[in-house]
Amino acid sequence: MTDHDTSLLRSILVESRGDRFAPGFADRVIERIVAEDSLPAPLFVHLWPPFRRLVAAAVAASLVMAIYATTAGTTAQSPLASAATLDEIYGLNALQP
Amino acid sequence: MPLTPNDELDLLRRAAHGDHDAFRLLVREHEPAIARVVTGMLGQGDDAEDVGQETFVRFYRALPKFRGDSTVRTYLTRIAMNLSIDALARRRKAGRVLRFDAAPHARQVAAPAPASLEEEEERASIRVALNELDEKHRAVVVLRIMEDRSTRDTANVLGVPEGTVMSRLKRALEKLQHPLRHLKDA
Repeated sequence: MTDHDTSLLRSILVESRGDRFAPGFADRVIERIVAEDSLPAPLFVHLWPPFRRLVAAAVAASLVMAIYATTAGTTAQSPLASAATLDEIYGLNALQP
Repeated sequence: MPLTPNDELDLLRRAAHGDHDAFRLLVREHEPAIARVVTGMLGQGDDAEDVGQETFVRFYRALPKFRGDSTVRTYLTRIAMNLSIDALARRRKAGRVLRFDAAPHARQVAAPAPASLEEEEERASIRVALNELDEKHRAVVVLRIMEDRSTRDTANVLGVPEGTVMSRLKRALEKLQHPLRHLKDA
Protein backbone atom coordinates (compact mmCIF):
# COMPACT_ATOMS: atom_id res chain seq x y z
CA MET A 1 0.00 0.00 0.00
CA THR A 2 1.43 3.36 -0.99
CA ASP A 3 1.59 6.41 1.27
CA HIS A 4 -1.21 7.89 -0.82
CA ASP A 5 -3.40 4.82 -0.17
CA THR A 6 -2.62 4.88 3.55
CA SER A 7 -3.46 8.55 3.86
CA LEU A 8 -6.66 7.95 1.89
CA LEU A 9 -7.53 5.13 4.27
CA ARG A 10 -6.81 7.32 7.30
CA SER A 11 -8.97 10.14 5.98
CA ILE A 12 -11.89 7.74 5.35
CA LEU A 13 -11.60 6.37 8.88
CA VAL A 14 -11.37 9.85 10.38
CA GLU A 15 -14.43 10.98 8.39
CA SER A 16 -16.50 8.10 9.73
CA ARG A 17 -15.64 8.51 13.39
CA GLY A 18 -17.14 10.87 15.94
CA ASP A 19 -15.05 12.98 18.28
CA ARG A 20 -17.73 12.94 20.98
CA PHE A 21 -20.95 11.16 21.79
CA ALA A 22 -24.21 13.11 21.85
CA PRO A 23 -24.28 16.02 24.35
CA GLY A 24 -24.93 14.95 27.95
CA PHE A 25 -23.04 11.67 27.59
CA ALA A 26 -21.35 11.88 31.02
CA ASP A 27 -24.72 12.52 32.68
CA ARG A 28 -26.23 9.50 30.93
CA VAL A 29 -23.35 7.33 32.16
CA ILE A 30 -23.96 8.46 35.76
CA GLU A 31 -27.72 7.89 35.35
CA ARG A 32 -27.01 4.34 34.17
CA ILE A 33 -24.75 3.68 37.17
CA VAL A 34 -27.38 5.03 39.57
CA ALA A 35 -30.12 2.99 37.87
CA GLU A 36 -28.04 -0.22 38.07
CA ASP A 37 -27.22 0.43 41.73
CA SER A 38 -30.88 0.84 42.60
CA LEU A 39 -31.83 -2.54 41.10
CA PRO A 40 -32.30 -5.35 43.62
CA ALA A 41 -29.38 -7.76 43.60
CA PRO A 42 -30.03 -11.08 41.85
CA LEU A 43 -31.07 -14.00 44.05
CA PHE A 44 -27.73 -15.78 43.76
CA VAL A 45 -25.98 -12.78 45.32
CA HIS A 46 -28.04 -13.40 48.49
CA LEU A 47 -27.69 -17.17 48.38
CA TRP A 48 -24.01 -17.34 47.58
CA PRO A 49 -22.49 -16.51 51.04
CA PRO A 50 -24.19 -19.37 52.99
CA PHE A 51 -23.70 -21.71 50.03
CA ARG A 52 -20.01 -20.78 49.96
CA ARG A 53 -19.65 -21.84 53.61
CA LEU A 54 -21.30 -25.17 52.80
CA VAL A 55 -18.96 -25.73 49.86
CA ALA A 56 -15.95 -24.93 52.05
CA ALA A 57 -17.10 -27.43 54.68
CA ALA A 58 -17.69 -30.11 52.05
CA VAL A 59 -14.26 -29.55 50.50
CA ALA A 60 -12.60 -29.73 53.93
CA ALA A 61 -14.43 -32.97 54.77
CA SER A 62 -13.45 -34.49 51.41
CA LEU A 63 -9.82 -33.57 52.02
CA VAL A 64 -9.83 -35.17 55.46
CA MET A 65 -11.37 -38.33 54.07
CA ALA A 66 -8.94 -38.43 51.16
CA ILE A 67 -5.96 -38.05 53.51
CA TYR A 68 -7.36 -40.72 55.81
CA ALA A 69 -7.89 -43.07 52.87
CA THR A 70 -4.30 -42.54 51.75
CA THR A 71 -2.58 -42.86 55.11
CA ALA A 72 -4.77 -45.70 56.38
CA GLY A 73 -4.56 -47.58 53.08
CA THR A 74 -3.08 -50.66 54.75
CA THR A 75 -6.38 -51.48 56.39
CA ALA A 76 -7.95 -51.64 52.90
CA GLN A 77 -11.08 -50.06 54.28
CA SER A 78 -12.79 -47.05 52.90
CA PRO A 79 -13.16 -44.14 55.30
CA LEU A 80 -16.92 -44.72 55.22
CA ALA A 81 -16.61 -48.43 56.02
CA SER A 82 -14.11 -47.65 58.69
CA ALA A 83 -16.36 -45.07 60.22
CA ALA A 84 -19.27 -47.51 60.22
CA THR A 85 -16.95 -50.30 61.50
CA LEU A 86 -17.99 -52.56 58.66
CA ASP A 87 -15.96 -55.66 57.82
CA GLU A 88 -14.17 -55.72 54.51
CA ILE A 89 -15.67 -57.81 51.75
CA TYR A 90 -13.26 -59.20 49.21
CA GLY A 91 -14.18 -60.22 45.66
CA LEU A 92 -15.72 -63.71 45.49
CA ASN A 93 -16.18 -63.91 49.24
CA ALA A 94 -19.05 -61.57 48.80
CA LEU A 95 -20.93 -64.19 46.79
CA GLN A 96 -20.40 -67.05 49.23
CA PRO A 97 -23.04 -67.80 51.81
CA MET B 1 -8.26 22.08 30.12
CA PRO B 2 -6.88 18.52 30.42
CA LEU B 3 -6.53 17.00 33.87
CA THR B 4 -3.08 16.83 35.44
CA PRO B 5 -1.93 13.36 36.60
CA ASN B 6 -2.46 14.44 40.22
CA ASP B 7 -5.97 15.71 39.50
CA GLU B 8 -6.79 12.46 37.75
CA LEU B 9 -5.44 10.40 40.65
CA ASP B 10 -7.54 12.41 43.07
CA LEU B 11 -10.65 11.93 40.92
CA LEU B 12 -9.97 8.20 40.65
CA ARG B 13 -9.73 7.89 44.45
CA ARG B 14 -12.94 9.85 44.97
CA ALA B 15 -14.80 7.95 42.24
CA ALA B 16 -13.68 4.62 43.73
CA HIS B 17 -15.46 5.68 46.91
CA GLY B 18 -18.67 6.36 45.01
CA ASP B 19 -18.27 10.07 44.23
CA HIS B 20 -20.34 10.44 41.06
CA ASP B 21 -19.30 14.03 40.44
CA ALA B 22 -15.66 12.97 40.37
CA PHE B 23 -16.47 10.15 37.98
CA ARG B 24 -18.46 12.53 35.75
CA LEU B 25 -15.31 14.63 35.34
CA LEU B 26 -13.31 11.52 34.43
CA VAL B 27 -15.92 10.58 31.82
CA ARG B 28 -15.77 14.06 30.29
CA GLU B 29 -11.99 13.91 30.18
CA HIS B 30 -11.81 10.57 28.37
CA GLU B 31 -15.01 10.72 26.30
CA PRO B 32 -13.33 12.00 23.10
CA ALA B 33 -10.72 9.20 23.00
CA ILE B 34 -13.35 6.53 23.63
CA ALA B 35 -15.82 8.08 21.17
CA ARG B 36 -13.16 8.04 18.43
CA VAL B 37 -12.31 4.38 18.97
CA VAL B 38 -15.90 3.17 19.35
CA THR B 39 -17.28 5.11 16.38
CA GLY B 40 -14.21 4.12 14.38
CA MET B 41 -15.15 0.50 15.03
CA LEU B 42 -18.95 0.69 14.90
CA GLY B 43 -19.75 3.85 13.00
CA GLN B 44 -22.01 6.42 14.61
CA GLY B 45 -25.34 5.46 16.10
CA ASP B 46 -27.12 3.89 19.06
CA ASP B 47 -24.74 0.91 19.24
CA ALA B 48 -21.76 3.26 19.63
CA GLU B 49 -23.45 5.27 22.38
CA ASP B 50 -24.40 2.07 24.21
CA VAL B 51 -20.88 0.64 23.97
CA GLY B 52 -19.46 4.00 25.09
CA GLN B 53 -21.71 4.05 28.17
CA GLU B 54 -20.99 0.42 28.99
CA THR B 55 -17.24 1.11 28.74
CA PHE B 56 -17.42 3.76 31.45
CA VAL B 57 -19.85 1.78 33.63
CA ARG B 58 -17.46 -1.20 33.59
CA PHE B 59 -14.57 1.10 34.40
CA TYR B 60 -16.54 2.51 37.34
CA ARG B 61 -17.23 -1.01 38.64
CA ALA B 62 -13.53 -1.90 38.28
CA LEU B 63 -12.27 1.24 40.01
CA PRO B 64 -11.73 -0.38 43.44
CA LYS B 65 -9.41 -2.90 41.74
CA PHE B 66 -7.75 -0.43 39.35
CA ARG B 67 -4.06 -0.30 40.30
CA GLY B 68 -2.83 2.02 37.58
CA ASP B 69 -0.63 -0.59 35.87
CA SER B 70 -1.72 0.99 32.61
CA THR B 71 -2.95 4.51 31.99
CA VAL B 72 -6.66 5.25 32.36
CA ARG B 73 -6.86 5.92 28.63
CA THR B 74 -5.28 2.57 27.72
CA TYR B 75 -7.46 0.75 30.25
CA LEU B 76 -10.63 2.40 28.93
CA THR B 77 -9.62 1.81 25.31
CA ARG B 78 -9.10 -1.87 26.07
CA ILE B 79 -12.63 -2.16 27.51
CA ALA B 80 -14.10 -0.14 24.63
CA MET B 81 -12.30 -2.20 22.01
CA ASN B 82 -13.39 -5.53 23.52
CA LEU B 83 -17.00 -4.35 23.73
CA SER B 84 -16.85 -3.02 20.15
CA ILE B 85 -15.46 -6.32 18.86
CA ASP B 86 -18.29 -8.17 20.63
CA ALA B 87 -20.86 -5.73 19.20
CA LEU B 88 -19.48 -6.19 15.69
CA ALA B 89 -19.57 -9.97 16.06
CA ARG B 90 -23.21 -9.75 17.17
CA ARG B 91 -24.01 -7.52 14.21
CA ARG B 92 -22.35 -9.94 11.84
CA LYS B 93 -24.34 -12.84 13.26
CA ALA B 94 -27.51 -10.81 12.88
CA GLY B 95 -26.57 -10.11 9.27
CA ARG B 96 -26.19 -6.39 9.78
CA VAL B 97 -23.21 -4.77 8.06
CA LEU B 98 -21.17 -1.78 9.12
CA ARG B 99 -21.26 1.25 6.90
CA PHE B 100 -18.05 3.26 6.91
CA ASP B 101 -19.80 6.35 5.61
CA ALA B 102 -18.62 9.78 6.54
CA ALA B 103 -20.40 11.37 9.48
CA PRO B 104 -22.70 14.20 8.35
CA HIS B 105 -20.68 16.85 10.19
CA ALA B 106 -17.42 15.38 8.91
CA ARG B 107 -18.56 15.77 5.33
CA GLN B 108 -18.96 19.47 5.87
CA VAL B 109 -16.05 20.17 8.19
CA ALA B 110 -13.25 17.64 8.02
CA ALA B 111 -13.52 15.89 4.69
CA PRO B 112 -11.59 17.49 1.89
CA ALA B 113 -13.40 17.73 -1.41
CA PRO B 114 -12.50 14.75 -3.60
CA ALA B 115 -9.76 15.70 -6.03
CA SER B 116 -11.20 13.71 -8.87
CA LEU B 117 -13.62 11.05 -9.95
CA GLU B 118 -10.74 8.59 -9.68
CA GLU B 119 -10.17 9.48 -6.03
CA GLU B 120 -13.89 9.18 -5.33
CA GLU B 121 -13.80 5.68 -6.82
CA GLU B 122 -10.78 4.86 -4.64
CA ARG B 123 -12.60 6.05 -1.55
CA ALA B 124 -15.68 4.01 -2.42
CA SER B 125 -13.64 0.88 -3.01
CA ILE B 126 -11.77 1.32 0.31
CA ARG B 127 -15.09 1.78 2.15
CA VAL B 128 -16.39 -1.46 0.65
CA ALA B 129 -13.20 -3.30 1.63
CA LEU B 130 -13.33 -1.80 5.16
CA ASN B 131 -16.89 -3.05 5.55
CA GLU B 132 -15.69 -6.55 4.75
CA LEU B 133 -12.83 -6.61 7.30
CA ASP B 134 -13.47 -8.83 10.28
CA GLU B 135 -13.45 -7.42 13.82
CA LYS B 136 -9.86 -8.27 14.72
CA HIS B 137 -8.38 -6.80 11.56
CA ARG B 138 -10.60 -3.73 11.83
CA ALA B 139 -9.43 -3.18 15.41
CA VAL B 140 -5.80 -3.08 14.31
CA VAL B 141 -6.58 -0.72 11.41
CA VAL B 142 -8.52 1.62 13.70
CA LEU B 143 -5.78 1.77 16.33
CA ARG B 144 -2.73 1.80 14.07
CA ILE B 145 -3.97 3.82 11.08
CA MET B 146 -6.82 5.96 12.37
CA GLU B 147 -5.53 6.59 15.90
CA ASP B 148 -1.86 6.44 14.83
CA ARG B 149 -0.94 4.39 17.91
CA SER B 150 2.33 2.49 18.08
CA THR B 151 2.51 -1.25 17.52
CA ARG B 152 3.36 -1.74 21.21
CA ASP B 153 0.45 0.38 22.39
CA THR B 154 -1.93 -1.41 20.01
CA ALA B 155 -0.68 -4.78 21.26
CA ASN B 156 -1.18 -3.62 24.85
CA VAL B 157 -4.76 -2.50 24.17
CA LEU B 158 -5.68 -5.67 22.29
CA GLY B 159 -3.81 -8.00 24.65
CA VAL B 160 -1.89 -9.71 21.85
CA PRO B 161 1.82 -9.90 20.99
CA GLU B 162 3.31 -7.14 18.82
CA GLY B 163 3.98 -9.68 16.08
CA THR B 164 0.26 -10.44 15.92
CA VAL B 165 -0.50 -6.73 15.51
CA MET B 166 1.99 -6.49 12.65
CA SER B 167 0.69 -9.60 10.88
CA ARG B 168 -2.95 -8.51 11.27
CA LEU B 169 -2.13 -5.05 9.93
CA LYS B 170 -0.28 -6.52 6.97
CA ARG B 171 -3.19 -8.83 6.20
CA ALA B 172 -5.73 -6.02 6.58
CA LEU B 173 -3.78 -3.69 4.29
CA GLU B 174 -3.48 -6.45 1.70
CA LYS B 175 -7.25 -6.86 1.76
CA LEU B 176 -7.73 -3.12 1.45
CA GLN B 177 -5.12 -2.80 -1.27
CA HIS B 178 -6.68 -5.44 -3.47
CA PRO B 179 -9.63 -3.34 -4.69
CA LEU B 180 -7.32 -0.35 -5.19
CA ARG B 181 -4.95 -2.38 -7.36
CA HIS B 182 -7.94 -3.68 -9.27
CA LEU B 183 -9.07 -0.10 -9.85
CA LYS B 184 -5.64 1.02 -11.04
CA ASP B 185 -5.29 -1.94 -13.38
CA ALA B 186 -8.66 -1.24 -14.95
